[in-house]
Amino acid sequence: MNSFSFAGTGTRGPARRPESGLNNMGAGTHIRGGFEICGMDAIAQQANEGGGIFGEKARGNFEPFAAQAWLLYAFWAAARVLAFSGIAILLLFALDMLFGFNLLPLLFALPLILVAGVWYSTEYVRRFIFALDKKNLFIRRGVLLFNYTLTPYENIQDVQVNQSIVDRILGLWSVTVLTATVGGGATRVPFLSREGAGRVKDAIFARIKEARHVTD
Amino acid sequence: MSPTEPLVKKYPLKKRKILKKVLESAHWASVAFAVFSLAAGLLLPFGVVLFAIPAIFAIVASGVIVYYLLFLHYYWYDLTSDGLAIRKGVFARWRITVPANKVQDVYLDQDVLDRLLGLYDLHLASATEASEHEAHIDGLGAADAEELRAVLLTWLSGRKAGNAADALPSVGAVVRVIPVSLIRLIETVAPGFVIGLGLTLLFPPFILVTAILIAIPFLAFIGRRYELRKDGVFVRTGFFIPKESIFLYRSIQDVEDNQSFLDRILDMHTLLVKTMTEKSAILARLPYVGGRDAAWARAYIQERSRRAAAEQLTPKETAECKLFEGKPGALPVAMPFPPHFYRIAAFDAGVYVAGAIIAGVVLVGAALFASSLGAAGMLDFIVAVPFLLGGAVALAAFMRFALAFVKAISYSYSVGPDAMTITIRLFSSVIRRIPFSKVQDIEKRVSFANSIAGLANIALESGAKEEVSVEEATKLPEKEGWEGVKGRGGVVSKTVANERIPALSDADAEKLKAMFASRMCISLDGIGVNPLSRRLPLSARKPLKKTALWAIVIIPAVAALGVAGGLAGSALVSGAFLASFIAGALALAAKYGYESEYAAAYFFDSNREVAVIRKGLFGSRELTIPFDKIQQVFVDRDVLDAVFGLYDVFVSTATERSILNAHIDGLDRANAETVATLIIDSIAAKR
Repeated sequence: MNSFSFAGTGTRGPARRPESGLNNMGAGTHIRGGFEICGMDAIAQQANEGGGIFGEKARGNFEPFAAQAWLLYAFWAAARVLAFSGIAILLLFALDMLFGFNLLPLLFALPLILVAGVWYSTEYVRRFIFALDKKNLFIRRGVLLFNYTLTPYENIQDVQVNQSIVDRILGLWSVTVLTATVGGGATRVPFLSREGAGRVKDAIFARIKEARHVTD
Repeated sequence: MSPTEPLVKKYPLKKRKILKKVLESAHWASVAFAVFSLAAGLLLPFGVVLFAIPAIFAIVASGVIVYYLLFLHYYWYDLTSDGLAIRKGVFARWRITVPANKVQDVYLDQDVLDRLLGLYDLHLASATEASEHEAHIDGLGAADAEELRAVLLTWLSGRKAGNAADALPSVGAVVRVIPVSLIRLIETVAPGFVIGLGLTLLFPPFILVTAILIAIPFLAFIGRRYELRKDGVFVRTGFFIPKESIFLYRSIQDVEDNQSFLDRILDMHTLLVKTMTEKSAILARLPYVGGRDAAWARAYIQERSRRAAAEQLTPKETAECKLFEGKPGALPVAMPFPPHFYRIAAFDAGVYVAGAIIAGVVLVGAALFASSLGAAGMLDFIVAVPFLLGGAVALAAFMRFALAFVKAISYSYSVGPDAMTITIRLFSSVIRRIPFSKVQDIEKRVSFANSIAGLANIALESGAKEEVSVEEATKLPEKEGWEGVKGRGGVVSKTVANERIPALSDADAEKLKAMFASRMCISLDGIGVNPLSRRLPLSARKPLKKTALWAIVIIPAVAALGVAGGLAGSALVSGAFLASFIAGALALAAKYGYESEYAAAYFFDSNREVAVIRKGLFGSRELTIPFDKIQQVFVDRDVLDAVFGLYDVFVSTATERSILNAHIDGLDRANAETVATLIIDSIAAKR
């Protein structure tokens, strides 16, 4: 377990042997404790291919985001910040009027909220990763806590290429991939240019065709 | 498919759609109209109102017209090499692509305005909810809609067609029509006829009402049509506003045959041929089918969907598993492992006896105490207690055994070479047949009572959705994905009684699971020998995290009591603080102990073909999921997970059980990565 690292900063396992991995377990291999017989190293190697799940640094975005991508997220962040600030201001005024708690100086903290909002937006865009790995679509999203979604290509049911009104103003597109997972199973790649969205869609379909339909 | 011009040019949306949209928005416009007229009538001279209102109306209508002219201008659809692609949108723009092999149902229907204007809505559904709402070609003319449906069906069947016209005679051809039982006509028309006749005798002009009362069910009767077509089961309902659906054989998950008590007397059946789509839970019902017709239709649909499923297998899969070759000699085995309904009843009766003994001791003790205080007649009471309790226990036990008897005579199941059939038949009857190739997961569930009685339930879920009524929906437990349905009815994916084999002995449950697994062509070899949960164990910090959740609530509450006691200086509050401090500490210790044991009992393992997850301390739930049914893999963490350095690995399938149970939560980073990688690799290796 300690012979490899998932850090993904170039620390790869030993050179990949063609017979390693679950894919290529010999026909005569006993399945019993298959994982062990095939060896954890083999799994570790496969994990390292594409930088592992957490090895995000080794993994670039499949398609660069459009330059104005952060504007979209900033737009939503600003909307949220404004709404929260509005509520906060009202609350502070109400406290002042009703109970005489003078907390109004806290309003000076508002710029901080604004800065935090802008930071969060840019970081969300910067830290969003989507990659078309060999076996699955990989998506990582989040700023402080990451959420990883791995969707095998053969499970993709529909692909949507969408542009909301705000997207349209900013010239952005998104690609949504849907599976039969109960309750939606949608995974969205936002912040793409028109051509970028087209390329992502085509690349996904190319991989769907390589894979085979077995979901139902 | 046509290289020269897209389908949208050949079968364009009709301009009449704009008129429909204008009419649709007319009711909003008329509300605005009424409000405005009222306000204007008070403020403005009549002459102005007379001109202003129609002017506003015209502006609104022209806005709608311009919008939908643009909408039609931008609307585009065609069959591409990727699938059916639809693009639409004037301001927000939206495109969906559905690959041919993912399509489950094809619908052609109308609403009232469509009917008046001769428009049709042709739509498809894959297993996603989005496709059901979005994959619409809405506003076709009658001939175009029929022809386009034939083109799409040809495309779905994978047959090459030079052009649509060539394809028309063969595609979607009716193989056989399932007749709608004539008894249904008599049954529906009779009440109207009797009531109408009575009224007419009283008051002759009521003959008109009678005619309507008879005409409506009659038209509904002749509007209803079921056909077994080449590609799928065709269902048409409605006379004035017809709805046509085609459920492709390859997507039909299971076939169910239902009869109510009345149906059994009249020899009528309701067939359900659900696919994974939500719409199919409502539309894929074929009621009013006569007995003999139901039998052959069921057999035909099952055989066609079996063959269609076999066609989807790769040569490798077919070679690995001979299941789909028919096995002509193989017969279904009826109840290979018997359900022990009486054993559960006996266990429950034991619980009643134990309860009665405890109650008896308490009652006798109380009577003796009362007697010592000088109450009279207590001796008689003490003598009566055993008789009272004994009678109550006997009655309850009798009822319990009677229930078990009813279950025993009404429930049966059989395991065939390629499908399992569950029959529940007393007054009403349900026969559900789930093909093994469609099973998404095997669940083995041991409730607390079952764990003491040594029993277990086995359930198979096909992923077909279930329609629930308003009353049923209110009883659903809180669960992700069910929020929209709770309280108002609708469609959910839930396990129903006719997917479950209850009250098996634990050893039998294991054997039946193995039997199902071999029929499903999945191997359970090696599971539990040296489980992953031992080699990649849950983090020791997991119980801490679970306890921390309680601590967050308990510690501030106790501290607040302490502060309150200190401020008040009252002995009572200080006593309460001390007591709550001890209680809180005990609760946290108990919680930690429970969570540690829970984590120790947590089991997950996999071989090349399946992942198995089992959890639970008092009783257990075990989920066996074939890798090729896993839809997605997620790695996730919440704030507390981040504090304790924990990760959750989830897998999802097309059933709701996966959302509940198919997660391995509380792994450290390295183990989470290895487990997730192992799963995703195994999914790829399986294909």
